[in-house]
Amino acid sequence: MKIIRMKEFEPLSSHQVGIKIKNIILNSLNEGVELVVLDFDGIDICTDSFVQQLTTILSEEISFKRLKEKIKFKNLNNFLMELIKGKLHIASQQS
Amino acid sequence: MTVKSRNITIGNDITFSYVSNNLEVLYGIKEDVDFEFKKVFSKPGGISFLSTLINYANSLDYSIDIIHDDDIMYLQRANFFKNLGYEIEESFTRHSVSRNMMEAKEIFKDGDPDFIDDRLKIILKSHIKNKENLILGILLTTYEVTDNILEHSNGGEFIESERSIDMPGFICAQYYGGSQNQIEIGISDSGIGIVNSLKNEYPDLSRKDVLKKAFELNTSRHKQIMPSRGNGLAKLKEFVLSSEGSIVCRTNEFKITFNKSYPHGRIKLENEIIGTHFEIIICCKKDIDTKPIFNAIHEDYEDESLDDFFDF
Repeated sequence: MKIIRMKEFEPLSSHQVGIKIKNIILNSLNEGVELVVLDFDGIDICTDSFVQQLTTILSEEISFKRLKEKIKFKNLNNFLMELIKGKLHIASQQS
Repeated sequence: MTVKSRNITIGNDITFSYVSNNLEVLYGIKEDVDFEFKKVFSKPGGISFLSTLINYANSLDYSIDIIHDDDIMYLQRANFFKNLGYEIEESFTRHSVSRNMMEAKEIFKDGDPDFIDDRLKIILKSHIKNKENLILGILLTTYEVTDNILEHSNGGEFIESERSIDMPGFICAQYYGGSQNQIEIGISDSGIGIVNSLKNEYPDLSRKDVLKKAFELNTSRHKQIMPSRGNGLAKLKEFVLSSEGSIVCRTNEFKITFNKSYPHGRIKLENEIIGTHFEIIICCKKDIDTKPIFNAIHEDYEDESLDDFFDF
């Protein structure tokens, strides 16, 4: 299991930060990591653009089924939970 | 404004409207010029807009000099001259942190917008700390629009590598207390403009309709490869109107205004201009329910199949 602490990438405000983390996830999966945990401890907000990279766009790249098997979100406040759920819902519809 | 052969005197308040209404003088400078600043009142929308225009004139290799009165303190505090490369001695003591003003900042590359997280958050928390949704909305929309500077200023394709641009954009903000109780944010860039950026993606729409579309959800020049992109301006509009604030945007040959009277936007034809320039005013009198603007729709929360992502 690999834990990625989002706090280290703050502020989570652009596609580019999202792409950076998405690439870490993809590399980890390619190396055979079973589960990637995205830990949002200490994070208040992030933008739509950022979240898209880790949900809808990542899902298109690895499939929603694999996203669901391999990615977990941890320590989300209400705002982040709802934002991410919304994006995951879109990702599930795209699959 | 008085214009001599090589002298532009700015003796009026530097507001977004002032800069917008004087573009014939301020934009498209084709000779060496002295800018003379008198004691004036300045606002973020005007500061960021004017910074972009002077920076653009500087980039054309004309000699642009600054002349000034003694009292240009506000512009100095806002880093207006410093950002443009003019070192003018300061006759005041700088406070380490202003609780009202987010100084003008150049946006050149990824990472530059990060300072919003520190500066704007401090200002908002010191004035409207009990309005958490409002703070959240202001930060999010500011991030999104500032990020557009780096996206659209490239003028070309979406790039996945780190971004940088040749000519910076500018952002500045100021909180106004008392009965105003509002924040004004100026964001300005030298890019290709919103309509030019989107027109190829929407060939059937008129340029005016492309501009309107830019403020609707899922409008992006990358919609083929990233269908869920392009929500930033739509969310900005919804959020600002929810606060009973206003947006004025000058881009390409248009000015579009959103406010209580024009919730769907009023578009006026103006002279063509480089870049995109925003004056965003957000009223801070009440907190706002931001869920319908920024978050998922309610039925998404009920999707139990998504619980696997959070239970482990």
